[in-house]
Amino acid sequence: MPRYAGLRAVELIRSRGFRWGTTFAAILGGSLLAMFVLMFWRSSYLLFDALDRSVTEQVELLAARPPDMLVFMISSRMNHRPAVVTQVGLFTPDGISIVGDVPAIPVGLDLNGSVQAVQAPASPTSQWRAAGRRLADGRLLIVAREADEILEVRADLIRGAAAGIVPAILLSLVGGVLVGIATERRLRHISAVAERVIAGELGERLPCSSGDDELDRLCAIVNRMLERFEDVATALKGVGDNIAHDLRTPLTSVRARLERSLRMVGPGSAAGASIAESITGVDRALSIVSALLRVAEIRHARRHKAFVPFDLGEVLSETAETFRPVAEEKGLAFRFPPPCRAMIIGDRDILVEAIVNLVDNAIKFTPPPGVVGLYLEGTGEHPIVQVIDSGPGIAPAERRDVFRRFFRSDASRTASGSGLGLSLVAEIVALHRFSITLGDERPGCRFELRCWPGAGGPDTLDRVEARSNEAHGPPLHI
Amino acid sequence: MATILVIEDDPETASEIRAELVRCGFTVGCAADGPGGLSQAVDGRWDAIVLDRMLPGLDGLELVRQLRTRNVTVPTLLLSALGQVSDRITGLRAGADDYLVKPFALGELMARLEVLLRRPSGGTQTRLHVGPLELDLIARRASRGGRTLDLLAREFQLLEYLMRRDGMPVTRKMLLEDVFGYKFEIRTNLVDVHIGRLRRKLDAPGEPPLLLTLRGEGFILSAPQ
Ligand SMILES: Nc1ncnc2c1ncn2[C@@H]1O[C@H](COP(=O)(O)OP(=O)(O)OP(=O)(O)O)[C@@H](O)[C@H]1O
Ligand SMILES: [Mg+2]
Repeated sequence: MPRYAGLRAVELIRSRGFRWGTTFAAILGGSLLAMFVLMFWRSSYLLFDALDRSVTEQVELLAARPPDMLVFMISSRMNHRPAVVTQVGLFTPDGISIVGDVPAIPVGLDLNGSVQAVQAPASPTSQWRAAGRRLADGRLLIVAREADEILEVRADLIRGAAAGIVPAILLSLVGGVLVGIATERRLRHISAVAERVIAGELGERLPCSSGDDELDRLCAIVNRMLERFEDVATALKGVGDNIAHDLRTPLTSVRARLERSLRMVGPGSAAGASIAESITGVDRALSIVSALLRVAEIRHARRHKAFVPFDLGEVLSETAETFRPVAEEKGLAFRFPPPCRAMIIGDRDILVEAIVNLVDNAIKFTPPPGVVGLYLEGTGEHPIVQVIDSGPGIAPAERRDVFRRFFRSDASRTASGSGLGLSLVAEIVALHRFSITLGDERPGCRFELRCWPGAGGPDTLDRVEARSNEAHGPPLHI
Repeated sequence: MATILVIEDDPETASEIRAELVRCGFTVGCAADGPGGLSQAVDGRWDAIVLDRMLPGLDGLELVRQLRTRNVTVPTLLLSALGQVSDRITGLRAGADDYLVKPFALGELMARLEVLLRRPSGGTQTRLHVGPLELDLIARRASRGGRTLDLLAREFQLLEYLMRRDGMPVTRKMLLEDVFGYKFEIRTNLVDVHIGRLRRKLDAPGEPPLLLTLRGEGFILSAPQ
């Protein structure tokens, strides 16, 4: 596909800018053409009209003369040549020339007195305007004038017009295409920015050139709108985080008080048991608060702040070493083929957190006897971490929701957890611009973490939410 | 008994920590802001200092840094509401000996303080002994009363960590952070699983248990009396 200025030809032709350009060219060309046709028609009418009138006049004039003077008049006219451009001929009723410089009756001439275009009888290249009539005594009178000059002028007109109009149309076409490309590029730039805004990067702004056309004014308005929107969104996000933050201190002091009371009554008593239970409850609340704050923390983490190259294979080996006993203790087989080295760039501690969350889920939701697998797939610079289990899996309709805060599927309500693990994973993936896909393992599920920047396009958590009204179905890319 | 300085500007948190320390038999001094804390901290009568990271007047990090430049080597424990891994690292780099993110259980604070006060046995030793337990760090061999223990790498690390802190409570959080390298909160039983496996290897049938679970707090490894 040929490319021009970064656009494919087909896209260009479909673009609005291009259509405006070509429409403009068509209108310009059409009006030029119409003007020419009018001019051409009008000028040839005027030229022929003058000629025809003189022919008609001559015919009338001669026909009105006494018949016996005609031969003399015509022959004496001929002596004034070459000043006279009109040719006159008198013929016997059966078409034999009596006098005059018309050698023969032109073929196809209707002898009704009207002026007609005919071939000159002597030279086949020459055109005449001629009129003929039958006189009262039966003889035939023909008057003719050469039309070659007029035809010549007309041909010149057409040639001139072609030389002017065709380049004009071509020029306007080229202009149209150029305007089209320029407009299209600008629109494209704008829609790319808009796309990023939809993907959750509310800090993006539409490009405003220094000009003051409609598009610039529109961009400025949209930008003002985005600013308001960003303010509101930041405020909204902050509310939840602030609540979580403000809950921490009171919860901590409640816990401390409970601990003290527990010591006073002693753990053996009935009161002690219920206090211990309350402490567990407070701990749960505290851990939810911490997890929420952790999600917020990663969301607001500066990208690349702590990014360093490290070996993903080593991270997986350590994770496997830590979690294999946990899986086995639960009666699950743990599969982990020794991985190769796979250097990636990222925040190691945070990525470990994501992988640990996936493995933890796989072990937690898979009932024994079952299998949990941790694999390093992909090649070279595109390593993929796979976490696979033989558990109940995740229904296609829920594959998007599991990445939301607090989502827990009905089937897993009995398991411990608060539904924050995967939202944390999603934030971590977004922070690195990696991608995560969730598929079926029949039975079980398969999480695939693609560990290279841009693995899933400009991905953020909000993209999942922005897409939530699209059709459900595997695999889900964030 | 040891003397502890608590530098904390939030009165409620300060009084809670103080109450718990007093209950455990420590002598406690208090300061509520940075400069006040620093002037008390330098006078050399403290066995450990617990300080908040964000303090009015002089922040906790800077306070620790100033202590270190004045060659005050008293162990310090930074408390912080900030949880980022990098904050923890800057805290430790500034010279703090440990770092605890709020909110924390008081038991956690006490366990860490105890470790700080007793400064775990130096890293230069190549053999560790606790009762009948022996750990050869070079040959990477563990044994109990001459019986070789067949430990996985993680279990070896775990045992080494516990043996360096014998007789001191070690919390799950400490193990998660220091042995497993997880600087984040994680809600699984993975520490208990590893401890359970280690314990089964340590104690042959009939032998007295060496590794005990402390209710709600963590674990303690100690030689049987
Ligand atoms: N491997 C899996 N198999 C089946 N269901 C899963 C799996 N992983 C996640 N899920 C589903 O997705 C939900 C959300 O998972 P997430 O990790 O966010 O929360 P959680 O594990 O319930 O709680 P937390 O991670 O906060 O302790 C789970 O409740 C479960 O329904
Ligand atoms: Mg989870």
